[in-house]
Amino acid sequence: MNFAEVRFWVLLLAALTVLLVFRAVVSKVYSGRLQMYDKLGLLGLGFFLLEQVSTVTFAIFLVVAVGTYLALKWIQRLPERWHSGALCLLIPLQFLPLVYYKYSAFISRELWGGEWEYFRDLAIPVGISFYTFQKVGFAVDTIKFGQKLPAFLDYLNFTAFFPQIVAGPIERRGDLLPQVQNFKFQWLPSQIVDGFSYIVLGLFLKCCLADNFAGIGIDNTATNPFAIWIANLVFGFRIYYDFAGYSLVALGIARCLGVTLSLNFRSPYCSTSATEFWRRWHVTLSQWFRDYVYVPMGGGRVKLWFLNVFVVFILSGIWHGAGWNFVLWGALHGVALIIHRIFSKRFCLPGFAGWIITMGFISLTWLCFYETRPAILLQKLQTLLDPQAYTVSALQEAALFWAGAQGLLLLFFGVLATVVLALEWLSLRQVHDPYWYLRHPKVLVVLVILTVLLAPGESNGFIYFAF
Amino acid sequence: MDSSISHSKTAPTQHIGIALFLIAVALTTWGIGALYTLLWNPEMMLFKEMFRIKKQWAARLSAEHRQKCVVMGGSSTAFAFDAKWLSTERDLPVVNAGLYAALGPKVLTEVAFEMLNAGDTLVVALEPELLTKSQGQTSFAVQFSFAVGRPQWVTHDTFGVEGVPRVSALLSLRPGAYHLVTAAGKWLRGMPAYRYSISEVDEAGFLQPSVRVEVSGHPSHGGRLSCTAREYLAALRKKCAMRNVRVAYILPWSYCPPERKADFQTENRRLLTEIAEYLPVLRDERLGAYEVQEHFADSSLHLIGDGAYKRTEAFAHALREWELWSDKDLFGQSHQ
Repeated sequence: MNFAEVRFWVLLLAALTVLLVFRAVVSKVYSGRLQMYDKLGLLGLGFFLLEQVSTVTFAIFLVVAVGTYLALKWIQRLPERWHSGALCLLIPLQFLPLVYYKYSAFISRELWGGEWEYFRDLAIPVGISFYTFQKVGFAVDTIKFGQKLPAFLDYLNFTAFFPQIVAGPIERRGDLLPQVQNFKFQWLPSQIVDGFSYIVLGLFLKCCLADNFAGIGIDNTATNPFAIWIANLVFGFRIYYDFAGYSLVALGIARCLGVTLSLNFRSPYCSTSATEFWRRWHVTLSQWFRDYVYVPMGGGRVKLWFLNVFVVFILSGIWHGAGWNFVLWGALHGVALIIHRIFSKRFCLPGFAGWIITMGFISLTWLCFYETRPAILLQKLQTLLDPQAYTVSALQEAALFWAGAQGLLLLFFGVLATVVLALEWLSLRQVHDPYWYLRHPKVLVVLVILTVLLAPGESNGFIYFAF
Repeated sequence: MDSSISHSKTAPTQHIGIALFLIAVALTTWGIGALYTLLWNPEMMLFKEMFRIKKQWAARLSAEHRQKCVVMGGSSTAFAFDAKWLSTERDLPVVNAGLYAALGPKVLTEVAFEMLNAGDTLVVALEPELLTKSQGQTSFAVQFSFAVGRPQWVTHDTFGVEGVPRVSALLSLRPGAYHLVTAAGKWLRGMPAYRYSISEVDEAGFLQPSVRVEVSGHPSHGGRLSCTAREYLAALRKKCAMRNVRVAYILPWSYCPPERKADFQTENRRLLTEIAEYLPVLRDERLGAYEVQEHFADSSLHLIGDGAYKRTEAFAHALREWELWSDKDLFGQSHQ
């Protein structure tokens, strides 16, 4: 479900048109069954769009979704004292497809020393990392907190709500389920305009910013620290605008349908500490790890709280990808949070200094995200951390690389990205809504013009589809 | 979970008005962008005019000769074959249909087929990278096709390449950031809008610009046909057979430093072996490696002056003799 492709919008509008035409008939003939029709229609829409992504993706999703529901139904029939044990059996089973598709090649290569061709060619079903976590959360909330299993149709609509199914936000039972239980197709102007503003902003971030950053050719040297920092910055902008853009479009489509999803990004590049960064970046994933891993382990209340933090971030790294670079990325962030927690009680850095240090750290760690070759990754990290590598000749070499058209593009989009970040920061400061100014009608006009004129012709997939 | 915040308390009709206004802005911007792309983009204007010139030359040759040869490819072809010289000095009616590699194999082939008649010869001089990398149709290909009034070149499934849906094709009619930002940069620095001009193209479509940039040569293309290239070549062979057109492939000459020559030629032999599964390959002992750096204009594929003359002369010989690489010549040597 690539929101940046025309095909998605054509399919969505065509399917909605068909649904609404039939709805008009149903409302005349079976007006008492209208809500049932709306729920079935929403489910059909989600299934249709997911199947258009790929049949394998759809099939795997269905197996995980239906399997989870049947298992929960069975567990709830057991005596209550067996619920926790049964849940401990169910959760690994829920993770099995994810482990198989995403990690089997890595496991066979790293743990068994071979790489079976079969595992190497396995394609990861789109969205499996996201909907697996959503279903695990649902299972825990249902069993642990003794909540009633919803009707099968409502459960399916919770899991298959199409705007968020393939790349989040990872919604909780308590937030999304009541909305789909009361769902009806209604077109309130305020909802549509609100949703539309998120869609326009999301498409601007993705198609105008992220896709153009993706097209900027970077110098892939491992020995020039200036070149590596620029590559990190470019990637940092790209991944943020790509993922935030997707999340905002998802939020906007849901809003048009009258459903409110969680805001997954809250201007993370305005953070002044690693802790604050993780309250603003991929919020629903952070909260999932906090509530289902960190807190059950004892959270921050136990003596070895730092181990809990470290484990959570290692797991977060692994969630992002099957590779040692992702493990390192998670570990670095875990260490940063531990250090911040220890020292923030004694020292308080001024906002700007905290921001510089935080952004420097975040930018450094993005290297672990995009450099998947372990030996080169270590070499680049060494280069970045070696003061002697920062020579005038290295600076001149980097400047020469960026002297032409690529440098112009980098400058232009760097300035544009900075303006966007500044507007996010202003919005946060003044109204505590990170996208307030960016969603202002006058700003939206500018964003529309920039998107139409500047978006590259060839569309890139969403980075997080790979996770 | 966050709830949305309205920017102001506006009436429902105003709400819808804002959304409709934004859609109108998008459509208007797209329209202006499309007009600029199709009519005023300097790069597009040049290639449109080159296409017209080459078609005119082809029509003239068709009127004067029973059969002719059309050489197709990207800019390396436009730079390398002096069709007027071949016609006047070697009595070989040749059309240089070379344009721009960014058009991709499909559109470049459609351009060539516009100029072909039954009984003609088609020489495919596509740059190796167009055959070794898998690529869909580029935005420039879509824009060019619309600009010359041939949208079907990109929207129909032809030459083994899937057509682009019409809506996607229309949405591609936009200048894009690379063009606008670099155009602004050129304007600020007082540079010409595009590095080539139509005055540097002769009446037979041969391009020899005055721009000079030192070329570095580390050419490498992998030496293996991509899956899309295989489908393309198979479809091309079939279409040529249907149209009674004789077809062969010829390798473009590329700048190669002497120390890399052996490796580069081995890589080229490997590629030609694979191409020979689909099309005959015209024999050329250079195997695409040309060592004189000064004979290139601004890229390792853009021959000028003496380099272009040598290339044209070699092509004249190849066309007249129609000597093809045999499997033994290519296959045996590619394994050395």
